[in-house]
Amino acid sequence: MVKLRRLTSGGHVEVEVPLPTAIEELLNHLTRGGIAVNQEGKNIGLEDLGEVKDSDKILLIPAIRGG
Amino acid sequence: MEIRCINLPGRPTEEVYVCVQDAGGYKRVIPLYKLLSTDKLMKLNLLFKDLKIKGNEWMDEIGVREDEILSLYFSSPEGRAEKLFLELVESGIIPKPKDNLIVIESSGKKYKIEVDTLRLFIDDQESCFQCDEDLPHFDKLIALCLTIIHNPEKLERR
Repeated sequence: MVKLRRLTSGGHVEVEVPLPTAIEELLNHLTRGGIAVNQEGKNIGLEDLGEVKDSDKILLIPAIRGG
Repeated sequence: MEIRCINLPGRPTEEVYVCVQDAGGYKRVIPLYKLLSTDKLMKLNLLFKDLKIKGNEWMDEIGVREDEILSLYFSSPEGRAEKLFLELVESGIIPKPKDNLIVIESSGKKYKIEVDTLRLFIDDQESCFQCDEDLPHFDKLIALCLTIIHNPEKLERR
């Protein structure tokens, strides 16, 4: 199971999901301009989705833009 | 824990109570007005009006302990966000704040963030940013730090 921590307006939420679901969630998040970082602080880009492991703990950060 | 009566940000006529605590490198601001029951807040209001606030006595007066306040705070969205922030600082993913500032060098630029206000300075020039979601304070700080570290071009002025 992959632990996903998503930063949202009501405070962050943490869910454990199977690897294929996590990949799908990551794909949606990254294509919307968000950032994903694993437990070692490594950035996960679209090209790194194949490297996501079942034991990973991933932080999903919403898009931030300069004003 | 130091107690302060402040104006609610964005509402200049509304005064609220907060506790300020040294958290090592920055000040922790605990929003009592969001955590305590109405009767306790009313007692606090009376104490403030009568100028009876001395040291930590106010906690005994209104019947609350410091550990209870901290426990309520760290169970709230703001407190949970700060806990996550501290976890990321401890694991070295986000730099440790010092004197209320987080300094990050990324893509040849120096980024400084004020922890309490979230004001952002890029090479000493104040800059602004927007977040897609209205996050709790420390979740926003986490998002800003990780954007600077991994995707600083997103913060370019548009």
